[in-house]
Amino acid sequence: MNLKINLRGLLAAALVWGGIATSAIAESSSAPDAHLMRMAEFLGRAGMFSTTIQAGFDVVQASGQKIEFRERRQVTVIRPNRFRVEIEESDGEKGLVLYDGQALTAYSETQNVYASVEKPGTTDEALVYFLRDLKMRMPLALMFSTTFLQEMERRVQSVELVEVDVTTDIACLHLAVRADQVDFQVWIPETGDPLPRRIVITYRGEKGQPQFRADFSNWNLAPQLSDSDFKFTPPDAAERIEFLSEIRTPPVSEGSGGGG
Amino acid sequence: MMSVKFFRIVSAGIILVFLALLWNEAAARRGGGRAGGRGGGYSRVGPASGGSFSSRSGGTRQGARADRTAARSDVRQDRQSNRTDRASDRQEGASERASTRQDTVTDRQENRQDYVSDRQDDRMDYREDAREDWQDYYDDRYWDHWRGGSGFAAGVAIGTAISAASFSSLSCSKTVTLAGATYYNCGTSWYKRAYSGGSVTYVVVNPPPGY
Repeated sequence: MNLKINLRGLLAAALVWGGIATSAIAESSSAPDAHLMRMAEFLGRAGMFSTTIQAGFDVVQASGQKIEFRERRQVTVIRPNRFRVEIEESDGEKGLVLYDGQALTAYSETQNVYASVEKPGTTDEALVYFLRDLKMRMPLALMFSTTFLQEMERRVQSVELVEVDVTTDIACLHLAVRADQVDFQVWIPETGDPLPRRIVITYRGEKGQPQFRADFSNWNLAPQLSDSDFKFTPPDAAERIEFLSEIRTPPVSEGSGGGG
Repeated sequence: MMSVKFFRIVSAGIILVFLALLWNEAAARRGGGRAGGRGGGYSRVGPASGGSFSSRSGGTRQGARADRTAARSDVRQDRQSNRTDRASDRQEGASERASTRQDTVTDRQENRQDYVSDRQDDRMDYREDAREDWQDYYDDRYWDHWRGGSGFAAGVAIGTAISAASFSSLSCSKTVTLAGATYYNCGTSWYKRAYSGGSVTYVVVNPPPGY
């Protein structure tokens, strides 16, 4: 009788344990695209956030040798209309990009020069203008956009779970994503807020298949910054310069428009 | 005795020249003396440096865009066709109503409905245009940061930009500051600093007024 009870107990325990294990695996492995989209939606809907990005990227030289360059960025986004990016590149170049809802400014601390344009609008609009019109550089800009989810839905072709990575600060789902133009891997916490810990983008169609790698840390969904942190005040002796795109495509002068 | 002194002086000179060469080499590796240094002949610009979720080579981009454009064109053609049909229906309806002398209120209501439909179509077209622009922003962005430009000595076209490392190799004879802007005269060309792709570059401009 005791043996029967014990067998039943063992069987029940095995079933319970098996169920827990199966559900845990199922939770991790089922619909990995849902985890990706949840991350994209979370970031797109966040009212504000800040993070530190330690990045590196490959540049395939003319000789064919692949060289990695590194940089660190402290990104703060306050929606709807402010962002601040502090930049330190591996060669010592330090800079700043600020948007206060009115003016978009890039500043080189190393050379003490800055360029600024008036661009009233939202963070999304400012990012578009910064990239498309001013031809400036903002790695991972898509992740700062409110349309991150829509862009992921449009681009992503497949998502697979590689493994649960336990070497990060919190166990992360390591996802392998194939998009229309690039492949990328992203590490998203298995539990809690889906704030990515790492992303690796592979430009599979480019010579040498270079990668852009970024580690995210210090996520903060309530960064404490004041309005003045987004407004640029030129330091002493700072010289104002133009964006190259402004020089190459000078605005049409008032007299040549044929108006009036 | 004299020969020993001469030998020492020559030796010291050789050592100084050697040290100077080493210093120069080290400075060149640092990229002109900046902390860290950008130079050494290695380009920092490539398809991966932008950290974009799209690729310059595009992969399926061109095809995808062509598909989108074709699809949009089809939709617009459909809408145009619908509008034409509606206009045709309107005319036919009007003729029939005229012939049967029906109440013109019906006619006006129909016109109003058609007008609303046309406006909805226009709005959809506008939204699609806006979305297409947004998509193209991501698809089209390229990261030609002008950092990898080669050095130019003279006679460079206006608007040409070169990297700070390339600029440092030029022989510039004059610096002029006008209205807060600094102009650099190097050979027969004048340069100004400008922001491009996240770094400060030097762009060839017209000479400052009076030069």
